[in-house]
Amino acid sequence: MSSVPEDWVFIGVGHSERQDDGVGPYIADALGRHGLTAVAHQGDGSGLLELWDARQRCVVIDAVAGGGAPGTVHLFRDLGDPAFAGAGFVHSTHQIGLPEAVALGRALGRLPERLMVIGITGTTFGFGSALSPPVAEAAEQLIDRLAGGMDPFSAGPG
Amino acid sequence: MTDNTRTIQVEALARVEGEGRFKVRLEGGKVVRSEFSIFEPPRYFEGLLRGRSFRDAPDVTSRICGICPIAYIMGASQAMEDALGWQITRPIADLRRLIYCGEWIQSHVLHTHMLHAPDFLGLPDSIALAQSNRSLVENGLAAKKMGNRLMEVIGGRSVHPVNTRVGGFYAAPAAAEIHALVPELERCEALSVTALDAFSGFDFPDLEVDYLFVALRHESEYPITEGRIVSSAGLDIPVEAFPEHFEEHQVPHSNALQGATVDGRPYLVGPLARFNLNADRLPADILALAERAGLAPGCRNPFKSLLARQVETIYAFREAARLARDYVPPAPSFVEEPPRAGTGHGITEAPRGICYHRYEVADDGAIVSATIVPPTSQNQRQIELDLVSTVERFHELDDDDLQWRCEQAIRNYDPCISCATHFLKLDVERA
Repeated sequence: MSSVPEDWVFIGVGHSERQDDGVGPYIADALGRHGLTAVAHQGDGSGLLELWDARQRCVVIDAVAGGGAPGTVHLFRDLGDPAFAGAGFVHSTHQIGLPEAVALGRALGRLPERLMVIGITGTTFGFGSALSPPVAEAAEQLIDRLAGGMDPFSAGPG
Repeated sequence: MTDNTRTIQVEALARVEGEGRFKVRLEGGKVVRSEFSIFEPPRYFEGLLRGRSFRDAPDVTSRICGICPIAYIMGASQAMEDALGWQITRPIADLRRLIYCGEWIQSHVLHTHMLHAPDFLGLPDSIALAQSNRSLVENGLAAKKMGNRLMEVIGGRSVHPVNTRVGGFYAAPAAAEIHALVPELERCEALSVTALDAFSGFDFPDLEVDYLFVALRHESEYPITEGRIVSSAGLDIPVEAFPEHFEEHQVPHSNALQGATVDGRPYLVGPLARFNLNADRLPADILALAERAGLAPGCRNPFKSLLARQVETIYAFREAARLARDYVPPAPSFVEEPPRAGTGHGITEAPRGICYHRYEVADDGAIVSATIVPPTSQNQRQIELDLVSTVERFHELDDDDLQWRCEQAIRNYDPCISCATHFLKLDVERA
């Protein structure tokens, strides 16, 4: 079993049938098999707010478009940073996106004590469950490190 | 452009679904030309269905929309059952109404609390609303969560449920699971009354539009899943007569078809139409709440659609609690008979208004033809006319304020542009 504290939760956001968009759920499933508290989530912000409630530390893992070569890992620890807050389509149509959920959670006082986002640059977002090779490699490395007890709130991205 | 010509342009409209543009030319406070364009590409669902099994129609059409999948599932299921001659049982019909309440709640609450309310308070979005009125947003999130919960317990998941099928449900939820929802449904009804009181204090723009309202009407219930088609002009027809009275037109400037009556008159579907044609089907105390909030039968102010949605949210919680309290698992959970050739029609009241389905099925159950008329498509022409009315009524506002008012007018419809192929750039040219 892992040495990761029980009050941590890892939330893998994305759609597992849209190739690299599924990297979040892929990692969450793997972390769950290692005994960590990890859930896959399709990403609707109001649902994320519910998951964040009553958690001390929460790590959201999501695919990102752009931001370097495929498989690049981005650690967003300061979610007020414009690089994160402006990264998504904040005003999505009928859903609350991740950046908007963070802003809403902050306004409502419903953010965990510690919340961060790990983004992984994807390259293919078509139909299918297979991750692209660079994203799959990045995912496996991240799984090994997180399951091995890495503290993402302080570790570097490498 | 002359010295007294002004152009207002909205590059993208937030808080509506899809992509589109509105261009309008004003002369002396009168609109002389307007074009409401939908440039989201066509999606070809009707063509996709041809040749597939009748069983596929509910699941395939549910993908038209992530906000109102139940409307498509139920409309398609009803149309197929009509084509095949299947009669569902009352308990199955009740369970359908219960999950449909969940969809009304989650769709209405998201729109009223998170997307439309900020307009009335001069706020840019729900985040600013949360900073200025935390309890209103918290109430909304709790209510939406309960709507989602209904969808999950009955449908297997809150988006694109998987437990529904032609004939009923793959499996009936356990009675205990449904009964356990009642206390929270009752609590959320009370939260929704509080929200209605808050909304009633909004400053509603003064605008009256001469609408032709169209909605379902049931002999005893506020319409959700069943009824005849009625209008404020006295129409009263069965569902299968829809194509004889309503049609869709292609217009050059839009990818979306625009609905009208066969004699060319635009019409309005959705909460305001439903309320006006069915106010007497609401429980007396809920109607009294509506009137106290400033929404009386006969209301033709499109901005008060916010109140109509919230009144319907209160009703949906009341109705869901009643159905959950009385719930007995349907056994069997679905009906099924061999396929046969036929043509069937189905209409339910989606959150945004009536949604029509028609299918022709071959004797082996393959779909020969499909026609789907979603509510935003039916409202498309009326949205354009509302924008014209809004620009003329409020033309003295400066460009920024007029743009804001137009966006607010569009959000009156909670338009689901993806459903109708749908939204918004705004160009106002003043001469």
